[in-house]
Amino acid sequence: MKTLKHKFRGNSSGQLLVVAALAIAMLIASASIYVYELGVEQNSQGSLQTANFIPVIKQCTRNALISSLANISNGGSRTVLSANLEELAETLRSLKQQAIFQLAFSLHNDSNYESGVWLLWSAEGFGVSSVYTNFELSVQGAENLELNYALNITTTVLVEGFYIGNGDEKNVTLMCRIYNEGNPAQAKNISIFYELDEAWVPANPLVLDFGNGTYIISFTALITSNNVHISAQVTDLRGIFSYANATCIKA
Amino acid sequence: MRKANTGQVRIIEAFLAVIIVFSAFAISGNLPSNHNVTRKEDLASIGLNALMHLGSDGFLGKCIDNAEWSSIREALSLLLPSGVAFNLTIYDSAMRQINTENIANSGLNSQKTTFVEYICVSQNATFRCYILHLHLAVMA
Repeated sequence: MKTLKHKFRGNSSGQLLVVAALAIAMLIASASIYVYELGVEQNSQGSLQTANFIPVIKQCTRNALISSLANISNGGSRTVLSANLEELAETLRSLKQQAIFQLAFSLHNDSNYESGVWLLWSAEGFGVSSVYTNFELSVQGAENLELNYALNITTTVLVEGFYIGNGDEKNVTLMCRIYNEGNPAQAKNISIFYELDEAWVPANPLVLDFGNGTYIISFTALITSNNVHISAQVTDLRGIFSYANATCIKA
Repeated sequence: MRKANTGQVRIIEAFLAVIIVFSAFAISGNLPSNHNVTRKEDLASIGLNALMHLGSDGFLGKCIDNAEWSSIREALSLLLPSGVAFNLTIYDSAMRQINTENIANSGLNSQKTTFVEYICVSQNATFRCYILHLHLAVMA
């Protein structure tokens, strides 16, 4: 019996070797396939150029709104906004991307915004130039995506001031603050006007820039009235124009 | 005779085992490599990010509006990693080439380039939309 067992063990050792070799081969193959699949997965993540391109489209829509507001606030027609966005949507459709990008938009309308545009320049102490648009981006490709987002571009000017001096010669000091989307912003140009005999006269101001969107402006003028009406006309670095009027009283 | 056969069978079995293990190695070694593809995707991503960075504050649109091609070339040279060759072509929305100068840093190997398409809108009051084609390659 012992001899038979020994004999069997001796005979099957070669087969065992083959089985072990097969097992090792399977282990090597499965490990290699796992590493390969992992690589393919990482690669497909990396090849998501479509997803990478969505921030580019958002940037384009933002720049299109800035361009439109710069145009409208400098005297352009309000229809420029929709015309520019239509042109952008058309250009997006013509791109040679792996996916098709369809951009739809709706101009915001409420008590302030009309056809996506709000220009408030006659209020006391502040002026607003703003555009507000809702976007719907549809991406058709390997993966279909729908993305809704809204963009608001706003330049706000706040101005207040006082004057010192007796008689007609008045030294007027103004503080002007500029904001882009609520954040302090720099001005490209500030023009100050004061009212004299129901006409706006350009002042020759001295402007002190604090570098944080705040400007201290002073000028001297011969004004007979007790209150000095001023107008601060500002163009920000993006080319968006806005102005604010204020009444300065004696300090 | 039987003993002699057993020895031969052992040799054949061992040989078979070696063949099986080596064939597993051989098959694994021949799986297509993704390294080159991944590197291309990385390069495309780097190129797209560089263009996005330039376009974020309106710098890129401003340079194109003012035909400042050398400024774009210098900015891209600074933003892209050293050892990356680039060639940028700028088109208007009707796909007419508008850059009158070559915007590139050095010779590009045409066989191993990565292509990035980018759209740039100028912040200028006059609306302008540009399509940029950036070709990138790792310099040998």
